[in-house]
Amino acid sequence: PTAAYVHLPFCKRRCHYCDFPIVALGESSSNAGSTMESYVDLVCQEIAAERSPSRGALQTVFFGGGTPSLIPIPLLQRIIQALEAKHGFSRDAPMEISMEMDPGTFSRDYLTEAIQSCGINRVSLGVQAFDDDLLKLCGRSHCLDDVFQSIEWIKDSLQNWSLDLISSLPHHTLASWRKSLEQAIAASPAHVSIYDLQIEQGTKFGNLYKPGMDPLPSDDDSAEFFKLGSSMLREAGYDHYEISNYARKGFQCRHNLVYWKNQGYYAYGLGSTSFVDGKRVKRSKRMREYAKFVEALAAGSPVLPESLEGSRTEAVLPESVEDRILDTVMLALRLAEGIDLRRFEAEFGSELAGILCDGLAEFVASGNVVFLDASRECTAERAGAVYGRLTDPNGFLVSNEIISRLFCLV
Amino acid sequence: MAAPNFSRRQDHAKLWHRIQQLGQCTKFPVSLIRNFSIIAHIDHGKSTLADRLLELTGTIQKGKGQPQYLDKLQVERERGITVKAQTATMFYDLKNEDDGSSEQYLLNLIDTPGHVDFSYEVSRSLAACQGVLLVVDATQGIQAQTVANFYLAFEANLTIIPVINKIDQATADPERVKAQLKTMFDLEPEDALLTSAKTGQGLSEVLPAVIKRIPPPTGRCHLPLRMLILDSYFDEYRGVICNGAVVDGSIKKGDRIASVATGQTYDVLDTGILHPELTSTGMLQTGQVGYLIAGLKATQEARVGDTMHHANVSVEALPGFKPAKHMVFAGIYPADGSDFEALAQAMERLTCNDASVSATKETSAALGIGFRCGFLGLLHMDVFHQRLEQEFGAQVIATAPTVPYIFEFQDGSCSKLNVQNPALLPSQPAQKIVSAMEPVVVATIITPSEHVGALITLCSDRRGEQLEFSYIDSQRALLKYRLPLREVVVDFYSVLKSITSGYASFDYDDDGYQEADLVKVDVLLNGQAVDALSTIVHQAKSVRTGREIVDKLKKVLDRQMFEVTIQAAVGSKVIARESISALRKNVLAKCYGGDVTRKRKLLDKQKEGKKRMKRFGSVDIPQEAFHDLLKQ
Repeated sequence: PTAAYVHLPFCKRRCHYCDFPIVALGESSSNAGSTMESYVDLVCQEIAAERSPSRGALQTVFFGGGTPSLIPIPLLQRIIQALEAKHGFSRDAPMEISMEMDPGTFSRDYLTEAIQSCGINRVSLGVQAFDDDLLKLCGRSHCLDDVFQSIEWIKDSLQNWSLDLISSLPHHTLASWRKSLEQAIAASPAHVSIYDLQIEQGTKFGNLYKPGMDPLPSDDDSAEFFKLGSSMLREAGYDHYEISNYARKGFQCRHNLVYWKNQGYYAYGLGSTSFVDGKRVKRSKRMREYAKFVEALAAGSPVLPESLEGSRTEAVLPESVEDRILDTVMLALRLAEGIDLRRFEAEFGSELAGILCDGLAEFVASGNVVFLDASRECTAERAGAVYGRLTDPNGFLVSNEIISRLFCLV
Repeated sequence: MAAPNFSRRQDHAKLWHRIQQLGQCTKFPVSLIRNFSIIAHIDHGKSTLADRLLELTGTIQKGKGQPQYLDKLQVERERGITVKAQTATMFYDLKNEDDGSSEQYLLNLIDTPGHVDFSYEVSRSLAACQGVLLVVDATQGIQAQTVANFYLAFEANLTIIPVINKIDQATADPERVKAQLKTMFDLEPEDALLTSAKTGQGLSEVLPAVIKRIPPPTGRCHLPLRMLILDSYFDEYRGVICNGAVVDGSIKKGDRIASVATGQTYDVLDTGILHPELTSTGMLQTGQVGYLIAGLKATQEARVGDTMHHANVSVEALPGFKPAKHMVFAGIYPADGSDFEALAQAMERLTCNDASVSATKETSAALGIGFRCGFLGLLHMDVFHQRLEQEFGAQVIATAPTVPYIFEFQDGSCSKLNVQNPALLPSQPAQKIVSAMEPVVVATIITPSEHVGALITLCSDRRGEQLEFSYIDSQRALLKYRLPLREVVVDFYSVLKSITSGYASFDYDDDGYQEADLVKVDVLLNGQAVDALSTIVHQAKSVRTGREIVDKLKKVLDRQMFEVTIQAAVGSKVIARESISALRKNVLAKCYGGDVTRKRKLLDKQKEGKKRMKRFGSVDIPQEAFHDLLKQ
């Protein structure tokens, strides 16, 4: 793999919709520093113990969270150094080192340091909403002023940054959503991610709200929000390159593309999942068990489910051909590029490629799928089709229906 | 059937010893045998009385075993009803009051189902009896099934001993019941026995009355063997077991016997009595009721009502039973469309056990391959369905029950079409329909008089024709109506129960066919008919029925990727319409490295859901929707 994900789970507090593996530090935690330090020790240990060192150097690194921007610069530096020492950083292509940052958690100096001494060259800013009431309702630890402040600092030092928004929040209306989009566009980021709010069990929102029920917008309204996002951002010059992601030309997130193209990636840290040598390994969400896992790894135990007993780490066996087929279909259809039919045929055979094409063709008449030729022009001719993709926005909106239908066939 | 526990096995050993000692079971002359049955309206205490008699004779031990001893099926225990007739042999010493001596009698108690649907089983049991105990609840008096069962026994020329039960209850009014017995059945008040199966009061009178009043069987010992097959079932360890009554002659282990119906011959491997578990005696004599194991391969070979005889002696067949008349039909399909083989196996074994069900293979575009089954009534259908699931672990979908219609077409020769499955009636027939006939029944309702008005309204709403309206005493009325069977099978009984707070009782009897203005209601999804949902109703009810189905369907169907139109139509005329707007959104917003496995699982689950769906043109219907839709 040429991509590495590092999970930095610390947050000031847990947001009301979040079911991620995070560690909430509390607003005034006195020993936060040492907690983070011992965690970074573990992560560095895990990186050093990696069994499948990169055959080529890393091209992308992604710090996700949690709130990575809570990690002190020296600790961040240590992780970067560990990664470079283990895998090397690519010199052929420019490195992409992304970091998720939350407004209100970092200073201008912190940002400068991150860029200059850690090599961070892409920031993903968790704005989520342009409305103080909504931010409060979501349990975010920042306010709207923090948002504008952060945007200003980031724009002063970086071009490659993403603005992350959540749609279909409680009380969202088409009008208020349009306003958020306008403000996002006005901030002029290189990249925008829009996540439709998912109500997860066990979260505060999960206890309070039922999907599609007041005060959450109805499914029909959510569909309208998605369409509005798609049309406004495209008009503003963004390419809707993945179901939830928009980018100006040249600013797609290279790291995330690795996932969608079903390529391998390393992962380090609590609750993270790696995909190396066709095998997905999901680390425990519990700190103590994750520590056990790292210990076993460092001691040289084989990374197999039985030897990881007690560490609650799930190591799945190398993916079967069927898994690879399904993963490929599921992930590729998230992209505007669509699924590369010739590559699919080369990898899985012409019979299966034919079945896939037939399955996709069922959705052409309803306007949810289009076939594209080699020059990415729409084609009605199945024979000349090189790509099959979901249409934007209608095909994307019902992607689960289409993908699960295709799953029935292939 | 539950395996006998250890103590019961000990009892068996004791009994076996007793039989050996006396060498007796085979020595009971016909004059010391009585075969009788207990008949009653549901819940009047028939099964409890049977339990008490079994205890009284030491056939089962008091407090041991389960209550409702003879109700062996799980469904019987759960519903507190008897579905399948069972037999038990008891020994009873009758004291001679004059000289204090006593004589031992062999009594065969043949338990019967009480519900209207199972009157077929009742008449089968009665064929082996010379008398009955007609049990009537002292608090409720004569009810509709009391009437029906009385006439079954009366027409079979059996001795009827009225037993007024539950006399310990505060509201018991035995005098009133005696008066009813006199007015309705001309049974003398002084002949009635008063009992409480609960407290034991009056029970000691019952068996002496059975012995004194009911005549012994009429068969002759010296004539060649004729054994009437009453029932048969398949036992996993012992193969086909037949229950039967030896009418003439005797049968013993090792005999070579033959069936009149099939001509097949068999060796008797074992025979004996039901005491109440199978108890081998090696022989059955004239007048006895017991079991027979003769290496039959399938229960189909053991036709109920068949006569078994010695292979080298030809005999005249005993009058069998009129074949069961199927009043209600429904399609039965595997819930998971693919599992037809498992269903077929379960069906085969259950129909072996319940000869009153007919089953023929049929195919539905909606539900795949399944069976069209004929039942004696709705309860019978429910019970069969429940037994399939409980005893055979088969998950099934049953289509809405229908009744057998006859349509006559004008095509030169006036061809007739029997329709047991509405889907098979052409929606827009090429030939003109000359006549449409629907089955009708005569229903007897006994009700507290204050509910008469509501019941008359109900019956006329159900297209009923009043035949009789009388009072059986100052508080109770008897209503007789001719009603279309279709109107009865749907929900008549539950509505009747609810408007009379459960105080009215109801029974019906087949009364042939009548001409009716019948139409077929088709259900269409985006213009395509769903065969499993079509139904035949009276013209006047078609709009109401169509509306109901359409509304129900709208509730159970998921949104699809396009708008779905649901229509109910008679021929080409749409009588009800609804639509389900297109699915707008089903998308997973986030999918990054750590999410892949989780999202895959989610989509795999959706895929499994999709695989269970049936496709109509472009519309997917989940199998569960049919389940919800067709659930009564």
